[in-house]
Amino acid sequence: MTVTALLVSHDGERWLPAVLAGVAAQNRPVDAVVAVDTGSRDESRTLVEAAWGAENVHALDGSTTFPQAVRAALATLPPTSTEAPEAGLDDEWIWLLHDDANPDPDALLALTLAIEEYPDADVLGPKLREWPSLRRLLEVGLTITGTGHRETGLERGEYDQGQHDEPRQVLAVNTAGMLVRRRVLEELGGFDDELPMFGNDIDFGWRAAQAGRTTMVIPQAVVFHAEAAHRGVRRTPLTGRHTHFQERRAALFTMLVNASGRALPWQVVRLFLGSLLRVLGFLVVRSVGEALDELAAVLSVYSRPRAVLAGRRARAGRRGEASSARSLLAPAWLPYRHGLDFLTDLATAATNQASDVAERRRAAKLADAAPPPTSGRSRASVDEEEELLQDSGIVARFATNPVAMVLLLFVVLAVVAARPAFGTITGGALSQVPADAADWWRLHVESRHPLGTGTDVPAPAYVLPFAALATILGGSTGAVISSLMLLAIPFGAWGAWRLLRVVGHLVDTRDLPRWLHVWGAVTYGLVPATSGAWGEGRFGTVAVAALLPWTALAALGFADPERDRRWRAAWRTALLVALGAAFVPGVWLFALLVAAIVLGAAAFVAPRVLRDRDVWGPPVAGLLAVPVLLAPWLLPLVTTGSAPGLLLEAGRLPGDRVDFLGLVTGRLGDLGAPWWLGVLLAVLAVLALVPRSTRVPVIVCWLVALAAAIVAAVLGLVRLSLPATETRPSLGLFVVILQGVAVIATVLGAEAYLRRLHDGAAHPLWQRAVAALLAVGAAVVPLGGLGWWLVNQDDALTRTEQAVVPAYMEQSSQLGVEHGVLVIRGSVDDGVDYRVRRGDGITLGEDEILSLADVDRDFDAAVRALVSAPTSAVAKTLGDAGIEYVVLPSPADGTVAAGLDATAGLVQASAEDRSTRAWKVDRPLEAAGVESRTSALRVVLLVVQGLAILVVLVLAAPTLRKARDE
Amino acid sequence: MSETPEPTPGRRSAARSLSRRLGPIELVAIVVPLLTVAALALVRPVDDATTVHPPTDVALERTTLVCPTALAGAKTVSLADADGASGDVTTRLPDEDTIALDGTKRVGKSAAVAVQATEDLASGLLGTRYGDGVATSCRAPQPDQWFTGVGAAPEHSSTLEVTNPDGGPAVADVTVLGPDGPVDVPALRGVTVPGGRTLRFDLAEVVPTRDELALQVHVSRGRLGVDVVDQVDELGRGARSEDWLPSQAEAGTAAYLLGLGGKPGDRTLVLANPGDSEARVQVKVVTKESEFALADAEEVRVSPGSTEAVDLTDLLEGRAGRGVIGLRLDATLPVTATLRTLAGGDLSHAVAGAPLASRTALALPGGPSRLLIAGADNAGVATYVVTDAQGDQVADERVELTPGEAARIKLPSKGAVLDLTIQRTGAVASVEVGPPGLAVLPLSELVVDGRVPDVRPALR
Repeated sequence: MTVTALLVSHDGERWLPAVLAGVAAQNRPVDAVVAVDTGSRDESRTLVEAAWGAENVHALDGSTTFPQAVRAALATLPPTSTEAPEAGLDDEWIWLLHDDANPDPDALLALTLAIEEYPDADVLGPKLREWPSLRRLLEVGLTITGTGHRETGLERGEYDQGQHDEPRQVLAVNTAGMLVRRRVLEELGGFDDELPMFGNDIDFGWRAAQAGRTTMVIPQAVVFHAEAAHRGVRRTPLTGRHTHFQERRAALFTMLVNASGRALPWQVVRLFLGSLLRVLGFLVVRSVGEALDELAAVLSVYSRPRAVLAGRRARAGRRGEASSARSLLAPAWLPYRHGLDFLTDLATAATNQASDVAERRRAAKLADAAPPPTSGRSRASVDEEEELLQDSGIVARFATNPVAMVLLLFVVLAVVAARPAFGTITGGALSQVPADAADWWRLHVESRHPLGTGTDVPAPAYVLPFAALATILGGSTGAVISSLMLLAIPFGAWGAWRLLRVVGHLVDTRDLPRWLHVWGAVTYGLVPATSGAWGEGRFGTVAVAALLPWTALAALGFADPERDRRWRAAWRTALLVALGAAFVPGVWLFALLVAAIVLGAAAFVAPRVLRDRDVWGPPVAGLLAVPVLLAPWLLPLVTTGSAPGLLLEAGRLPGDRVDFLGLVTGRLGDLGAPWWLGVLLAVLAVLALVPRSTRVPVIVCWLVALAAAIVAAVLGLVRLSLPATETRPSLGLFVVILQGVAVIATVLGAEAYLRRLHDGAAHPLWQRAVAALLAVGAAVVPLGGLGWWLVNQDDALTRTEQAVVPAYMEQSSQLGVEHGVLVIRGSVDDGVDYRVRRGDGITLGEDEILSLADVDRDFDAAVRALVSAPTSAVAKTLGDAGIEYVVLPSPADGTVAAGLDATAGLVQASAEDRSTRAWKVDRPLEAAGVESRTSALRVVLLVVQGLAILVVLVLAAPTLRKARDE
Repeated sequence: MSETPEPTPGRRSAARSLSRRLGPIELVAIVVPLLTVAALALVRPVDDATTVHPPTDVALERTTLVCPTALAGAKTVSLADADGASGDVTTRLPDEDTIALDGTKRVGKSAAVAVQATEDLASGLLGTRYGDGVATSCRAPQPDQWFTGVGAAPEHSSTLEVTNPDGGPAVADVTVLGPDGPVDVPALRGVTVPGGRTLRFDLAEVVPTRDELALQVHVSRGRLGVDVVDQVDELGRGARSEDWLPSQAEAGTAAYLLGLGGKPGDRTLVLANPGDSEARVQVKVVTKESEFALADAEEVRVSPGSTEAVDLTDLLEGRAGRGVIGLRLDATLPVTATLRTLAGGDLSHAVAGAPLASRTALALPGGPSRLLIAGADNAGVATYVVTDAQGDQVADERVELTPGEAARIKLPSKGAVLDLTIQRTGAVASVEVGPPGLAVLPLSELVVDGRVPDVRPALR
């Protein structure tokens, strides 16, 4: 048996001395050596020549590929024996080595011993370990997944503890340290020239397997591999700067040329779509370069079908009978497992990073000052808690944790209390949902809506998330509202929990007791219910209440010591503020105000800090991104003169009825919990100012409350003149903000009181008594609120709206926008109002448009004429405006009805209820003025919004790159 | 991390402690919550948007008057404009036609007549059908009206006539009240009148009864001119007379029934109580000088949903009845009322008149007539102008009105249009026409304005 070491080197002087020494130190020495240097510009060639002799080193130019280099080296060897292999002469082996692959002294010995043990093996590979760490495993055999992923079967960064030390048959082994029978290498035509650098090992192994050859990995042989090219440490003309491109190109090519003929069409489609998906994946983690490489790779392979076909033809000739390739490929489920891992990583990173702000600030502080830790309570238990919340799969630990059980109980009870939301609900500010998600999409895309007499007022911004969610939920629009109303409260409580933990950490190095967090989370979580927003169907306020703690949590990221994380916080805040503002635009306006105050205060207190662009930049950028994210709503809103919509909230009018007592006690109207529960919280927030240790942060909370109060007071004086009514700006947001601030203040201030309960003897009895009283009072707030909500049946929500128009008209109006129904209510004495019903009636998302839409003067005049002195000309006007029926719901005004009865062009129509009067317009119906339209500007705005959302999502996404590289 | 300080002894140390406590932070801790609450206190409760938006008045655009089918000898319809405007009016019934109006136009038509005027003529169009001791105003279709004291027996029977002036169908719902409560009359429920048609219902046929009845006619679809012809046939004595029974717009607690004529006769007061409780009604007589209760008159009790007939023949006979021009009713609950008089074989009705506020007008039938005014609630002035058929003024007078007093003014026989203006008070007025015979025409407020409701887009 002869073993010829074949070394290919290129700019490898960093590693070559060790590699050459390693070869020389083999316990089973090589019988011959041959080296190819592909145009190294450093001392590589000299080093190899010095070690192996100049006659054994062949210099080729820098564009030589690895396959070419190997072929060239083989050509210089004496011709292989042509005698029959069974004569025992088929014993000539080539040991391929890279200039960055350093064999262990026993490597070749182990490989050659394996030849004797496994005489059928034609290709053998060593175990590759990382160089220079020498400990971590790189590869113990290779295979390829259905998506072309190079699969090693190893965990990332797995240490070699002998856990993979069983020799086994594999699809392929790395060329670094590969011991291959020379005849097999030549029979298979060496490595494929189409794969100059990467992936030729898998392709070779696959071809070998298809030819019936056996490839084995022999873990007893160890080679340390620097993976210089893969890691981009070494750049060659072949790798260029885009190693990822080369790798993916190679993978795709390998998959396509080696796939069986039957599987080929499927593979072609799958790899293409899979690659596009990977492009998206890379974009999500902000790896734009890799995304482009991926895209370039798939285009490069798919644009050259001839190369693939040529490769397939070449392989077809060599295919053997006993192919074992199929069984050696990675299992089909593996790519999905990788995808799942990726998503899990992403989710974990996303949920973890905000809470780390306090930790990192503390770490930074400790690193700066390194004071002795003042430990009130061990960090361990808190970490344990966190771990438990994040890793709740551990059922036993979960069940034995009282906090987790209480929170679980709260979630269950909150869902039970919100049980009316199972199924469709409507009422109060909540209109009926449209029949299909497509209706929301259409509403979002249209620039002119076929509502009323046709209007250019944009659809409210929340229509987009609703439409997207409804699409995800299988087109069920009702499920969107149900999930919002069912889950908003647990979600808000979760956010409050996270926020309180971080705030607690930020404020005080001592950790607040976790029961306090539970109290705060539950109390805040219940705000939408106890305020009455839930019962009044004010889904905008409900959604904002759920989002607000998360927004605040994201905004705390502005205080992160790391620049990158501050910027990431900016995009996360932008997303959350935009989402909140989609429901209640005041969220953005208030965020602007708070940002102005905070930055102004910072400019006053620490002007030097603000000189850093990376300090003031994130909040400013985040808030300025909001209008871009909401562009298709915001811009037309202003240009159509509907700016009052900025001060309203989602849902139909009339707005909330908040007054002084409501703001203090956190009640929107009469449908909230008993007011004294709210007073308790207000009292607690005031008492939170008493303890000196936490007074400053509590005052900060109160300052936020003051800002909210001033804004509320100013808004309370504003009157918005809408076409249908005059209304006050929505104040529901401020109720939520004040409640949230009160909860935070109470939690922060409670520490001193709780200490009196804990170590009682140190304090006077009366102080302990007061503390106990306050604790009881505090406990009453969430318990009372939850209990009230559970038993309270008094809300404005119903299953279905009362039908206004007869059923046959509803059916007729579905036929087209020109089949509108004009509904006129009221009487001559008290005034009449009218609304046009088209399609499936006025559904969620359309109320806001209609309430802001300008009055159509001509149509208004026509209705006025209709109810005072109707003529047949008026009937024609109605027909032209796309009105098919006129309905006077019960009780119909007799005078108006008599007038309509006497009008030519109106034919009496039937109604289920005798006191409801209806007429059919006996004139041709037109829809010219009301038809749906989408302008070019709208399309531009939608594209801008879509791109902005994508970009911000990508920018806000947590970093995974670092983890991937480790 | 300091704790709340323990109480320290000594005034000086207490003072020092206080000053230490009231540092800038503490000051802020006190001021900020106070400011917050103060700011919140500025938020006023939402004032409810007014839900009532009164209509605006504009010049009437279009008026339709419906005159009933003629009675014997009453084929004449007198048409005029209260403001003396001239122009064309159109008749829709009995046939489509145009009538040039300049001054007063008298046309002879037996069938029901529907006249329509637009623009200038709309606000003052007047019409009266009359002749031979009978007369009735042609009125615009009303959605609701009452006819009290109708009969359904051979000796006293009434006929309900409904005329649809429009093209489309109209529906009337007639509620019948009797002495024992509402009477179910299927024939009068949901009466559909095809466009341009007149339907007549002889009550003696559809609800034969000797009782005094009251009808409420509610037009639920379209528009209908509604009239009732009342007929008395004293079978034995051979006296037979008929006249139109004027309608009353709505029940009221105070009512003036003007127009008793000068002659003595059989007088029957019929009251109807559409409410749910018993109504008690005080009857007074109205003379030029005063209103007073007759010594023998008792309070009348009207059961809920029922009618009550009171024979006032004896009370109003002789001295007591001299100078009486009407009755005044004061009821505890809204009632409707008619005083039916059969004097000298001629039937007439005094019906509770609608209160007048500013102006009324009437196309006068030919012959002698008298204007009765009563029920002034303040000291005020009534000014009347009578013009002849050519539009020339033939009489005018200013009459002082005083509460508790009434006026009875003789109008010139050749007068064709009466225009009465009331100032500074409300009043009730009627015109007595005759002899021959007696017909009473209650006056109602002239509708010169069309009411245009406040129209706005709905909130939801």
